[in-house]
Amino acid sequence: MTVLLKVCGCALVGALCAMTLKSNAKTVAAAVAVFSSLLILGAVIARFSGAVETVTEIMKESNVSDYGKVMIKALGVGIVVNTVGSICRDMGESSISSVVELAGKIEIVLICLPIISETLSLIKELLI
Amino acid sequence: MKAAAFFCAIILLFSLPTSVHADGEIRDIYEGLPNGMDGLLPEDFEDEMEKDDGVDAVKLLDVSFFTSFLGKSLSIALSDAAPMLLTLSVTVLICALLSSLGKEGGSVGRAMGFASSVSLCGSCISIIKPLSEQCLSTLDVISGIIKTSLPVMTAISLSMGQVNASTTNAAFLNAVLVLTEETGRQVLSPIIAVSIAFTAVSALSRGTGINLSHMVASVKKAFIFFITLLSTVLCFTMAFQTVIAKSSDTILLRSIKFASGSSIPIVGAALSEAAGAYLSGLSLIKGSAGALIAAAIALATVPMLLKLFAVKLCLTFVAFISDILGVNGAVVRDFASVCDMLIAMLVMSSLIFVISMGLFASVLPNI
Repeated sequence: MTVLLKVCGCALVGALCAMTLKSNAKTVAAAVAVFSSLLILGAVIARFSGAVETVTEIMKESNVSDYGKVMIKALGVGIVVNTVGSICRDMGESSISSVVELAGKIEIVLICLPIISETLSLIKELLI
Repeated sequence: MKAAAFFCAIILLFSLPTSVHADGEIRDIYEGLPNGMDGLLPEDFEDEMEKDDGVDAVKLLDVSFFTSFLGKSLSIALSDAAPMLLTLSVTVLICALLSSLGKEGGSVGRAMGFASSVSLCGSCISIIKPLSEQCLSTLDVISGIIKTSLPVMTAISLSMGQVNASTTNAAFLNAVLVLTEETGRQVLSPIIAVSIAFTAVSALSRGTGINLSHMVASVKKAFIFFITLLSTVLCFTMAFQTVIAKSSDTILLRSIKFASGSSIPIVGAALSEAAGAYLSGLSLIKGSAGALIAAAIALATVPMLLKLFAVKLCLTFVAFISDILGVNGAVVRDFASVCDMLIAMLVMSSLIFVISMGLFASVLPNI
């Protein structure tokens, strides 16, 4: 809860600073916005890592731990790409945002490929 | 006419595999049981088998034994299913998280949804595939039990003078065995594999606009059709088995009585006291062998059935959680229906064999 309050406080301070600086120094305002976003993202990831470890430990007990890892990786990629894409869009760079999102999608598909091939080989074993 | 019948009976007697011996041992069935089955039977079962033609041993297979066996099997099945339930629940929770992020994430969100579908499908198929293989190997074990016990039952039947009944029952039971094995291997098992494949591909293609749920439903309909057809054919076969076996031996029984294994035919009313005692022994074998076969089939089938029920319960529960969390539970539900198919195949095969063996044992006369 304290982490959440810190995150909210950081977000408010960052937004206020960016808003104040926007009229006089647009570049600095953007830098402040990016810095505060990354700070919040870091705090969230640090908070989330404990949960990831717990989930990984639970997954290890069964034989489907690889699938859980894929989902966690996809989640991580999604969070990072969404955040970076949003920052880029806020800065008016929608083309860069689109490319980042495309890279994220490709990364997620690449993460999923081993599982897709494994699933297809399991199906093949069943059918032959 | 009687001489011709006697001659035919002699030929039939020696043409059939008669592994029962004159000393009345039923060890062929016990020793022919599949590996690992000894561990499932009561502890002192083997010692008791050596006494009194195994009658005391069969008494050990009572209700309390089966109740404790059922309890142990249920406990094992549930403890095996618990990690699956935990893992699938966590997978669904992460899926829900991915879906909730995906709703606001635009195209990246759809990619995350795809990742969750792939992971859920992979988790389910990695649970279902070994189950399918274990189910087939259980069917092999049941077939092995029947193949081991059939010659012994035939020999017992022959030794009691039921020449036509034994050959008829043996022939029909063989036909049932071949039909069940072949249909299971060549038709039902591939249909289940195709169903798993369609379910998996349907899960992978979810969100792409390709809807394969109708194909999955069609495959299920095909499975139901084939299993109903097979059950009908087998029921007719068993009806014929009963009619033919019961009506054919009435004339022969008046004139011919055999003791098999010792290779000495005892004809007409010239049964000595020793032969009488021997036939009484065979009567006991008849009861004990039938019970042992039924017990062996139950011991082979029940743990697998309970395992399938536990996994189905686990998948149904996960599908329920998925629906609550807003994740599409249809994938999990489709995999749960594959469990239904496996259960149907296993139950049908084991019941058919138990009933066929029961019919075989029922036509044996009481001495």
